Amino acid sequence: MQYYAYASYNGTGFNLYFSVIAGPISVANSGFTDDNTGQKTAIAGTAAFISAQARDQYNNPQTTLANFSIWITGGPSPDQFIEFPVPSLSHPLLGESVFNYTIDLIGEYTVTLYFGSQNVTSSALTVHTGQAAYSASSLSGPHYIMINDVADYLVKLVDAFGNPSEGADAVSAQFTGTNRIQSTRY
Amino acid sequence: MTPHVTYTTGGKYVFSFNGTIGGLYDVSVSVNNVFVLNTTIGVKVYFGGQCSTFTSSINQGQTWTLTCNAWNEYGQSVAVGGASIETMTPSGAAPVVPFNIYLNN
Repeated sequence: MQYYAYASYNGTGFNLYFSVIAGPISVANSGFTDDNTGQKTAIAGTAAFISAQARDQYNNPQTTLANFSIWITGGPSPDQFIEFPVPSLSHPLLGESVFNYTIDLIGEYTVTLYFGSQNVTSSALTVHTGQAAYSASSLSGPHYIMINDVADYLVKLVDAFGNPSEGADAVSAQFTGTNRIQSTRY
Repeated sequence: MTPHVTYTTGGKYVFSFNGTIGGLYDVSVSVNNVFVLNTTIGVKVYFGGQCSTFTSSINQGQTWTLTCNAWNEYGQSVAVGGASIETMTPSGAAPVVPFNIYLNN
């Protein structure tokens, strides 16, 4: 932040401008910001964003996140564990950096902010199924029944990456009769 | 008819249809108003046929006309072909009239 000081000598005033920059990084005061929720939730196949900021011991923001990195680990199951660094999109002045990633498989992950090799903070990340995709979804049921029988149908919905629907999709069914006969027993 | 659709687990939704009326039905499932899954179902009833009966005695050489109808398995009226009275016993209290109805399947 920029300041100025005022002084006078024999009735003549002087202004002195100076800047105060953030001190050494405080790992304890650095971490994720609340600007983006990508460190907590994401939709499979959709870009998500994480924001982080480094600060000094007085919470003054650092201008960069130099030496900081973000890693995501986890997956839909233990045998599908993945781990990858999240690339940074931007390092604007006053230090809030935005990181971008896309995960295709639903599951529980962990987002970790490192300063060098030091773990700064972590966040649980849940990746949810995206919108159901026509190409991978299916409808199954009997092609005929006898009168007064009940036909049971199954709709299986998955998104474009094969993740099963979590029940948030709006599904409605309709039967439209043709050549309907009330009774034909003779 | 619009059945109630229920989410179960693992990406599965279920619904049922009571086949109380015979016929052919289109089944359509709308998903997020983005796409539709389609299939068909037939509710089968009882197929077969029936002809009118003799109303009085019949004399040798006399011609009678029988009116026959046939229905397919969905209760729909179908054409009758090849129907004929083939033989008739000359006497007896209960003459046997072999009669074949061929459905146009």
